[in-house]
Amino acid sequence: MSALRAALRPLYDTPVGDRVRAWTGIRSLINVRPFAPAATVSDLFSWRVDSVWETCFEVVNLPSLLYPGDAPADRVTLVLFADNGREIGRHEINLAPFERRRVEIEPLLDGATGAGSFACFHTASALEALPRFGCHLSERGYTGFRRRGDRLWSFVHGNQHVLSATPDGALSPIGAKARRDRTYSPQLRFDDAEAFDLSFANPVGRPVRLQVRFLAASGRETAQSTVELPERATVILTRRNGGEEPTATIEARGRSNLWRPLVFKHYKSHFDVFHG
Amino acid sequence: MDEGFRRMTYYFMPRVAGLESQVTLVNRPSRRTDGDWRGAQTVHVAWSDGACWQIEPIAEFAADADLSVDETMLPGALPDEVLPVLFLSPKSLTGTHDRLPPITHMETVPAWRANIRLCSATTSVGYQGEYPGGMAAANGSLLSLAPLFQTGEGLGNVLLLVNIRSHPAVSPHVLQVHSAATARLLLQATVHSNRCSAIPLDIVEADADGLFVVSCADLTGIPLYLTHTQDYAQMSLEHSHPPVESVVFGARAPVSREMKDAWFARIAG
Repeated sequence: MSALRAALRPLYDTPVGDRVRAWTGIRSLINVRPFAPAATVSDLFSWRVDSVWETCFEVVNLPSLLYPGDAPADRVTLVLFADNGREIGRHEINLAPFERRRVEIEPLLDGATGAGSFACFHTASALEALPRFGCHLSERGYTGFRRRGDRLWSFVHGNQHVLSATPDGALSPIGAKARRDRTYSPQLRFDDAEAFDLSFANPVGRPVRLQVRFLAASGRETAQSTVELPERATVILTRRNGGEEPTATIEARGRSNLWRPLVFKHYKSHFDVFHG
Repeated sequence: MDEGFRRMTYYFMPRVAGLESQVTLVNRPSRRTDGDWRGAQTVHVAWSDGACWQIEPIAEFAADADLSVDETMLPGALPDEVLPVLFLSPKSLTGTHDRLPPITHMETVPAWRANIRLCSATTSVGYQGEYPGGMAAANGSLLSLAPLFQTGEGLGNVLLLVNIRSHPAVSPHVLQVHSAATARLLLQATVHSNRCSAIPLDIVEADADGLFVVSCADLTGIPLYLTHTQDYAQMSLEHSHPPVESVVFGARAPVSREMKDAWFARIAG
C-alpha cells in the first residue's frame, strides 16, 4: 500500500492535487498550496481601531531569520482589508537584516475604523532556495491590541494561513473551502467573563455563510448569529454574560475546515485576547 | 520515538512568583471529526521529584464537560519549583512511574488544547496551548526568535521556559540570549528540565528595539513571553512560534534544521 501511495504521490501531492482533495472532500485539507513556487504565505490578522481599540503588528525581517548566514534585506508588504474584505491599501516597508519594527495599524487605514484584517508578505532574494523543498515562507507573526490609555500591548500570534502573494504582489487564497459545513468549538469557557467578542475572518477564497451558536453550560442554545462573509471579510460578534444563562461555549459552523476565532474576553478590570 | 508519545498531549501550570496559574480543560475535540475520542476521562496531575513521576488523579469529567484546574486542586505540599503537568486518560492512574504515560487517544487536527492562564489579583492573561508529546519524548534544542518584548516605565518582561520530558530527571541547562543583529551574548541563565524556569529579561532592555535569539543547545521547551506592569494590573502572555513555523508546506523539517544550525553557528561565533 505504501509503495502504491509513493508511486501516486507525484500525482496527488501537488497544488492541483490539494484542490482536488478540497473539492471532492476526500481527505480534505485546511489549506491548499500556492501555485507559484516563489509565493510567500501569510495568516490573515485582525485589526481593531476605534475610540476604544488600537492595533499594532511586529514587522520582522523573516528572511534574515530563516537565512542568518545570508542576512538578506527584506521588502515587506502589508495589505490591509476593510471588514467587508475590500482592500484598503498596501504599505511597503524595507527592513535591514534582523530588523524588527512595531507598526501601528491606524495610520495605514486611510481613515477606516472599526475592524478588518491584514496580511504581511516578504520579498528577499534568499527565499529563492525554498522552492526546492516545496516550502513557502510563512508569516505567522504577532499582533498587539490595547485599549487607548493602556500601558502595554497584549500580543497574540496568527492562527491560520489564508493568503499567498507572488513577488509582484498578486494575491491568492489558500484556505480550502469545505465540501460541506464544518463545526469548530474552541476548547475553553466564556462564562468567566462579563462579555466577549469573537473576531472571525473568512479563511477561504469564496464568500461563505458563518453560523455561530452560543450555548449555556446546560448545552441549551441561548442565541445564534448567522452572517454572510465575503472573501477576506471580518465580523466581530459580541455577547454579554449578564443574563441567567451565560454563554459557556460556542460553536462556529460553515464551509471552512477551521473556523478559529480571535477571542477578546472582557472582565471588570481588564481584557484578554488570544486565538480560540 | 514511541508512537504513543508522538500523539500524546500534555498541559502544564506555569508557576510564577506572585501569580496564580489555572488551566481549563475541555473533554471534547475542537472539531467534530469521525473517530475522535468521545468519552469520560480522568484528569491527572503528574510532577517529577527528580527520580520518578508522581501521578495522582484530580477529577473525573464526562464527555463534553470542562474543568478548571487551579493550584488549590493540586496535591498538598507540592514544592514551588515543581511543574504540575496535567493529562487526560480514560483510565485512572496513580503512583510512581519511571516515564510519563503515553496515551494515544487524543490525536486531533488542530491539536487538543487547553486554556492556560496566569492570574494576578486584578488581571488574568492566557492562551490556548498544549505540550506536544513528541517534544517530551525527544531530546532537542531551543531556538526562539520573537519580538515579544516591551519597554516603558514600570514594565517588566519575563521569559518562562516550560520543559517536559518523559524521563523524570530534573537537570540544569544553559539558556542564552543573544542579539540577533550582532550575535553578542546579552544574558545567560540556568534552566531546568521538567520545570518552568522564569528568567527576567530586563537586563537586555538596552537592546529592546532589536531582536533576541533565545537558545538552549540541549533542552527544548515552550518559551512564553510575559510582559507586565509593576502591579500586574496589565499583562501580556504569548509563546513564540518554533522555527519550523517559518515555512509552510513541503519538506519543512530540513529547512528548519538548517535554520537552527545556522543560528547556533552564528551565536557560537
